[in-house]
Amino acid sequence: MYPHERSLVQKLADKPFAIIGVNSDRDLEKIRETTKQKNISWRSFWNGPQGTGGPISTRWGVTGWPTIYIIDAEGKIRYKNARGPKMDEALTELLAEMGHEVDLTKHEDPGEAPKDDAKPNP
Amino acid sequence: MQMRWLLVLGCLLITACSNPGDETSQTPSSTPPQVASKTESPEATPAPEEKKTEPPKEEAKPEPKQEEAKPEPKQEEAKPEPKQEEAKPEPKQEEPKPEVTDATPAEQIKTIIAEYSKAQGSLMTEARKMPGNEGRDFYFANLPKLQQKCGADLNAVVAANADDPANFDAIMWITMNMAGSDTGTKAMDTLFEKYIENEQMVKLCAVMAQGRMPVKNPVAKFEQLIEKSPHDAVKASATMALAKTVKDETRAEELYESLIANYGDLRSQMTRGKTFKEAADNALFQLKYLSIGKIAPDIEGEDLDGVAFKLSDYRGKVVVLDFWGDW
Repeated sequence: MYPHERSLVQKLADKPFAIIGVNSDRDLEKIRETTKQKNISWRSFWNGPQGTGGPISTRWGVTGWPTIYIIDAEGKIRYKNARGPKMDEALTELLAEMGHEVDLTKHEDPGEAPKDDAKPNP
Repeated sequence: MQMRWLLVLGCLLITACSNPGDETSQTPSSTPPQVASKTESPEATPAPEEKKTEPPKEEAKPEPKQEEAKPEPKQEEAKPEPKQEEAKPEPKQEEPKPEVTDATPAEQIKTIIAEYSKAQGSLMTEARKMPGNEGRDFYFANLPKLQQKCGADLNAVVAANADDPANFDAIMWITMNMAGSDTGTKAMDTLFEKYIENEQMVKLCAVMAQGRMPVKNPVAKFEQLIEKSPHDAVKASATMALAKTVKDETRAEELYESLIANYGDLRSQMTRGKTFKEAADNALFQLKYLSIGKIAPDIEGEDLDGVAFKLSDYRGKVVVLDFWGDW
């Protein structure tokens, strides 16, 4: 997921688009660190210390991870669990409805954040 | 990507033999059950219907489907699964013996299914060594042969021991693993003709409710079960499965309401240990508020830095709402 999502964030940076996560890790400190390391730049709700049993995922009836909803500009649920190329198609369609033409056929992963000790060769 | 389907398949194998009522296996934070294939009767675990993994390219394969609803391990987290001892090809000196055996039909059926699981494990081990999608293609090209052999062996035992109660397990295996084929269709017909009163039909409801078993007219099957089963657990499971299957939202709502009214306190494999009331309430909430076309319920919470925000703050944008975890 991450490479695809990172790529979407980059490609759609100037479009009315956002990835919103609901993170179900129990350990908040650890997941904060992970988001830095893995360059997860999009915003996430935290599902709380109960992890997958937390309030948001429970209310949304989520029993499998990842679960994905794609929501349009009006706030309407339009797709469930469309991933990979299907997600691209869905986003292309929904952005087109708003008059934005995008091409998501190719993805280049901007990659994870460089580690501190990764110095370029002299 | 190539790791992903293998992991999914790995999960399938594990699921096939794990306790079907074990709800913790639904959550990614649980410890994966250990090696899959040698345990007793494989039972399919019902799965959240929204979970879909990519189906195999070429043809619909019922068997992996019924379990594919496990939470998928993230690609990044891909770890090799514990190797299965059985996967090592052992030099066999003995030729397969003729079927003369003292084993009871039940034991024979168990052995045949165990052998299938073992062969499936070996096939997967072999497939995992291949690069790219080759392994996946190899796996799905060869799996039907194993299924056909297992189905034929099971049918032979069934034919030789007419009316043995253990036949049910054999016929159920064939029905769930070979759906869509002639053999599978015949087995399903037999189930409904001879075993419709069996309490284990709950299992079939749970798997069929996921909607990925290639069965003609599942609605009629569920209706038959509701009408003819003497067991509340089967009636309730079939009602739940029917509610998940029907396209008509109003009918689905009525079915869930009737579940709550008639079987509210009951628990079964279908509901993964929850009561039917809990499961139906959950399904009703999803139906009313989380179906395609509904306005997404707002989420109010805090981000990972403790800053409060709302999902509706993003109105006006296309939003990918991703329930994720890094495990």
